[in-house]
Amino acid sequence: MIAREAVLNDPRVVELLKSNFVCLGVDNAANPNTTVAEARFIADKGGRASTEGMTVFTAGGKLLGRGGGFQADPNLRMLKSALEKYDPESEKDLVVEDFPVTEADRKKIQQPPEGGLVLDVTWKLLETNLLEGNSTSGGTTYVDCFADSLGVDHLWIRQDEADAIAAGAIPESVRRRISRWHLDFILPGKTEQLDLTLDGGRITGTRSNAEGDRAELLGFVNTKNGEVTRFDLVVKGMATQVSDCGFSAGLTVVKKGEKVPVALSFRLSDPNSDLRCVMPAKVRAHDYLQ
Amino acid sequence: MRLWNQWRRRLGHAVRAACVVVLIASGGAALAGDALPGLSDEEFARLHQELEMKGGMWELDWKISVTEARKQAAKERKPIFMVVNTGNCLGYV
Repeated sequence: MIAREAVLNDPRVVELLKSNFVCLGVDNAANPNTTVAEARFIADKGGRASTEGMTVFTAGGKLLGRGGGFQADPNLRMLKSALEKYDPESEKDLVVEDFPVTEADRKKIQQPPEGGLVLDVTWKLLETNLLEGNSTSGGTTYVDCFADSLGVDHLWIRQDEADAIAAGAIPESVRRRISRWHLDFILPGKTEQLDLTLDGGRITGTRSNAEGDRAELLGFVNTKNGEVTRFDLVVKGMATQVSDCGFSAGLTVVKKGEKVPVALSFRLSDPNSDLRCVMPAKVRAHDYLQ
Repeated sequence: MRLWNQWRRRLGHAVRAACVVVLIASGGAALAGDALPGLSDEEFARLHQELEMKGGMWELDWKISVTEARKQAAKERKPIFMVVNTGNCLGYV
């Protein structure tokens, strides 16, 4: 999260990457997105990084630079140096063959449900006046990075559930998935009650926990020819600190014992972006899609 | 005198009715005050925009397959910039 905010969101880095590099994101621990053969290919190119690793290599596998860490400037220098070393002619005849994909690979790298929906789930603190540093934020050094950061995850919806939504109802299984993996992660306590009404394309509702904390929900669903063409849901409530190695984004630095306003959003993923296929954080739960 | 008593009774009823109305109204207000106001359409629009993955690194065309990245790099004759994390690409990239 810090690397994302401090390095990858640096405008100079973005500009350089946009026109000169092919960008690749690899998860090597939680939900690995590499086959065994691919993991072997990148192993000596930074593929075994235990936290944030950043490297540059060619399609053929020649390593051009190693970076990483939480500072934009050294990575910017690394990118420029790698670019100088890169010779586009050196691999002009290279044909990239597919690596063999095993059954274990297919099981590991799960794909979104066929005919279903993928929703981007994002969240952010709405006020940043009650924050404190901790070991994840490097003390107070990266508190601001976390405070302004956007938490990001995915929610998968099965085809039958998508059909039900298109027909005007939000199935119980979708409500449960929203509550269990997202609302209960970002909002305090467990969902005691989730009242969701979909009426005429408008979603309204509230979420409450046993302590009486309430969050408000408002959203919109559009359909065309029996397919969901818009699913936008916004949730606003109060959040407390969540320690999860930074994945909880801004909630990482909420002052202990305090509550801060937070908002979540659920919306259809861009069908043209490969990021759509990043697995939801909790996809490995045996009952994730149930 | 009889007229005065009738008027006084009517006034009493009116005052009592007004008190009941005020009590109900204030009770309702108290209940409404305990609950968070619902999200308005305007607030929805503002938050929906604020929570969008846009700008910065989200402008980049990220690949999440090593093989696809290699194929594109070979085709476009560009080097590959790889970010490796111990977690969700979206969360940590």
